[in-house]
Amino acid sequence: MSEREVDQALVERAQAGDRRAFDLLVLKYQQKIAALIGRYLRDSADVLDVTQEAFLKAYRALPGFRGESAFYTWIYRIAINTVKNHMVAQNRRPPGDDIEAELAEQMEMGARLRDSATPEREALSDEIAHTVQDALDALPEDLRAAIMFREIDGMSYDEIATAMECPIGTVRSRIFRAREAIDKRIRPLLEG
Amino acid sequence: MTTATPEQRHLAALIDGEPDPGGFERAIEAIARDAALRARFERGLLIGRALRGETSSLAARTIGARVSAALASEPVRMRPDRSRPPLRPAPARWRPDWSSNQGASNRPAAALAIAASLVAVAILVGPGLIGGPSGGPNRDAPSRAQPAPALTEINAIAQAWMVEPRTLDEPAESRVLSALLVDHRERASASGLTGFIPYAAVVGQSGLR
Repeated sequence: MSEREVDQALVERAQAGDRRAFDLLVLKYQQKIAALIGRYLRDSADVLDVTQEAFLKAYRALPGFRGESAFYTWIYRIAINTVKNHMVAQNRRPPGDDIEAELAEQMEMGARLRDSATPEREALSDEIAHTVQDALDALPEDLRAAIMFREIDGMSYDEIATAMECPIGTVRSRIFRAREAIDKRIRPLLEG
Repeated sequence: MTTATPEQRHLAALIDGEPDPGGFERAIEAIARDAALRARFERGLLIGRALRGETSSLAARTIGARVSAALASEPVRMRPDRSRPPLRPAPARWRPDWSSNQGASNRPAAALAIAASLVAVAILVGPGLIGGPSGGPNRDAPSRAQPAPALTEINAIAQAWMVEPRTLDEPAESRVLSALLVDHRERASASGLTGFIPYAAVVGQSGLR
């Protein structure tokens, strides 16, 4: 299953009434959508409210989603429209065009949208980024390469196995161990 | 070295978008019942964002919980799940199971079937009920029994009453109504139900006064 296929499978489960599947989609995209909305709104409370509203609209519109585009493209457009409506309601000038939505539509799920700005002042980005980088630096070379191939280069397990000349099972194990080591470092930041 | 549980392996594969077919289901089930796994799933996504240089927000981590809380007060929206196997053959005495997902997904179809049946009954029977001897497609039906002359007369009286409401205070009209009721009881079944609506209208209008 590709990432897009995973999303589509989650969508189909959600369409069949499984809210847990929709919850996973929200977890997966909450940061991206909040970052997107944060480009238009400065108030952090507004960002959270509009992000929540975008996901609720998506849930209500889910029966009509037929998978002709990637789920992220679809939720991206809903988020743009939601923030536009919010700005109009606030007597503010909404974004003038749909260039970003069109760009998103052209992107495959494997391609990563990079958020250019943080939605809130309280962002943990710096601290998380430093901690993750420290943990990455401390990893053995094979684990570090495996997770960088996966997360930064977006390579599949199969491609990584070819690049590292090892079985896919070994790739899975290396990525898992690398992520575990980083997770141990950032968990106190997020749960503290 | 960390030893991964099967759930953790499925979870890692889900984060990477490469679950095995069976692992996908097991990961979803595991995340749904284990809050620690759910948190691990979210942290795994955050690690990926951090490695790619994408920003993350502490406040945005609450959105999932906020959306879940908001959805808790909404009805479950669903459509038939085409990925599921077909339903088992109905037992001899079938009952709709409205409490299950399958029953809920069948609900619109059942409602449509009931509505279609009612419309069909209305089309077939309605004209005879409303129009009496002169109304609807039955008026030219040669096989239909003709109502007795006395009943035809009563129907005509009833039609007139529909146009102009009467009151039981007048003895003459009270007698007509009594005759109508008696005739209806005696002949309604034989009359093919013609004139039911005029009869109901007369009784209704008089009863309201």
